[in-house]
Amino acid sequence: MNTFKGRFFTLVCLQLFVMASLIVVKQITLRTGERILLKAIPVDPRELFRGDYVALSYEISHIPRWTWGAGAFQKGDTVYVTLQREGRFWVAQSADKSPPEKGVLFLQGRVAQVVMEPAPPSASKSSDITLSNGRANVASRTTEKQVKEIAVEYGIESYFLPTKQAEEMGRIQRGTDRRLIADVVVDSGGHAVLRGVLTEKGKPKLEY
Amino acid sequence: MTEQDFSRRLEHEVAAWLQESLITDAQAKTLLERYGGAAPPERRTLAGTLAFMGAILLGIGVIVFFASNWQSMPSWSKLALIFASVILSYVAGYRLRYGGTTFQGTGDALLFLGALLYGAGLFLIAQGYHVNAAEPFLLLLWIVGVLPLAYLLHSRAMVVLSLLILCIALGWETSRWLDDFDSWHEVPSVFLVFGCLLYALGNLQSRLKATRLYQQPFCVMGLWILMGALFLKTFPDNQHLKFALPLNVPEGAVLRFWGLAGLALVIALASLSLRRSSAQSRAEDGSLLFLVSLGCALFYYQGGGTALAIFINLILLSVILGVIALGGAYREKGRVNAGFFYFGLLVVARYFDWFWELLNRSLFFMGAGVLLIGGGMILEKKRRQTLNLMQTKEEGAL
Repeated sequence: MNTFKGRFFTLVCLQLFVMASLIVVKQITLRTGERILLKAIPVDPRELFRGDYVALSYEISHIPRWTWGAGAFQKGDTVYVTLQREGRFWVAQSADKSPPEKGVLFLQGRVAQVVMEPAPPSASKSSDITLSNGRANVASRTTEKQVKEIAVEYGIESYFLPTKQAEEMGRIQRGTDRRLIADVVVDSGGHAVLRGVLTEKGKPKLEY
Repeated sequence: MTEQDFSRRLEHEVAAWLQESLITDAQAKTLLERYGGAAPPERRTLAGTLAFMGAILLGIGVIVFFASNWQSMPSWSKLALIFASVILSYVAGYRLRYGGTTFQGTGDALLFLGALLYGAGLFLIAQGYHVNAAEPFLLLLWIVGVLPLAYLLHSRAMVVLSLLILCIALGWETSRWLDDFDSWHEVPSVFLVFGCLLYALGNLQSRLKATRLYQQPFCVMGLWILMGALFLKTFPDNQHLKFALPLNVPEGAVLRFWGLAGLALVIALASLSLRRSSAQSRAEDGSLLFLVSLGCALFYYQGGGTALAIFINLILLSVILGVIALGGAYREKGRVNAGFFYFGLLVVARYFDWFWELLNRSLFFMGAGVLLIGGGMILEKKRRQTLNLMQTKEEGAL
């Protein structure tokens, strides 16, 4: 092992181990996790390095302010989103900085953006309106902002598929009444793997 | 001449003697071992160069083939193909490079192909599981696999590959944190500090015999990045914001930036403490520490209008002149070329800034044409003169 040859093949094995680990981690999620359906929207197709893909956004990608209590999220924070079943689909019930208790289905994500909105008028600060030379002057008007929602990424926002299917998804995005549904597997740690994407009437297009 | 200067000179000479076939590989190794120099750079023959280009093309071909046929292949065959191609490339490369054959250049190329295929394999596996695009974590896994191998095999090509991947990873990571318009003003500061970190790592490695071979790729890439970052800050339009703390930058990004800057400072100081004292090296290390501090200051204090733009222009000009001077002193073409490139870029950029409003359009474009043609010729002449001067000095010293 101490020979040059030994060290070389140890490092090659390290590379193979890294590749195998990537497969094993995802397979564990796929085999032990629970399958859920999420409403999805295609956003932006194509990635040069890895062929065609569709960038997906989900209903649960936007978590409104009322779903969490005190405390504030910042960009980059880890967020645990508890899911609740509504008919066939799963929706966000609440969001927290720590994982929920065992037995509750949740997704682990990362805050990609904190979306702000103007606060209601009562919370705004307005300066006095003064009269000068017969004209009303508003010297300054500072409107405070408040958090509207957080945009969350779960690591399942890219769906790779052949060019023709990508174009079809683009057509769906451009206005037919068919919706995209994401077939996702979530394990007990909140890690998700995207199994496939199907249209309202279709079957899953792709399985790994 | 300090011992370090002597070693550096000897390495350069040995490389030239090898190129001219005055000595053999074994003699070069013995000479360098006797005087404490780094291993001789690999001689790149025409066959070796072609093999390298072939490896890159083959790597790209395999990536495109896998990517475009991914969905139509059964799972087991995809995985088998990925693993088999990586193993095959490494085993064949090792046998040709170290098996006593005359195809050492081809062996190097196949080893490099193995590093490319490993990265391609990571991305294709990630694609199979629909891992998010532009995921910096995958690039880090690539570096973790390739960099140790690069050092074991003394492969500059793999080191350069790793550094390029690291740059892309930092770009992806930065774009995740600083994707708001206002936050983009911080991006050059991040890359300025990153460039300084690479340069400091190069300097640090030059102090150690085992790693001296990697000084040049680290330093030259660091210079390209830090001068590019400074160049982006030279535009007056970039400086319109008031002096203010970067309120739009998320806390996580600020922490990461300080981690990067702290690392750059520590490495630069470590390099400084290990360095033998000479006016040249003190100036080099001092400039590096100044640039890291400047990166930190620019990250926090944006603005200052035209005054700051002029200040950054002067800093970049000083850095360019210093880089060209150092390139001459160290006899490194990479530094001289980088310095002349940014000098030309700076002149053209300032011409566009200052004369766009002052001249009418026809005069402006004529002037730009004259500047590009005439300035390009003068710069190229000066660059060649500098390189020739370096060569003459080397020959005179012999």
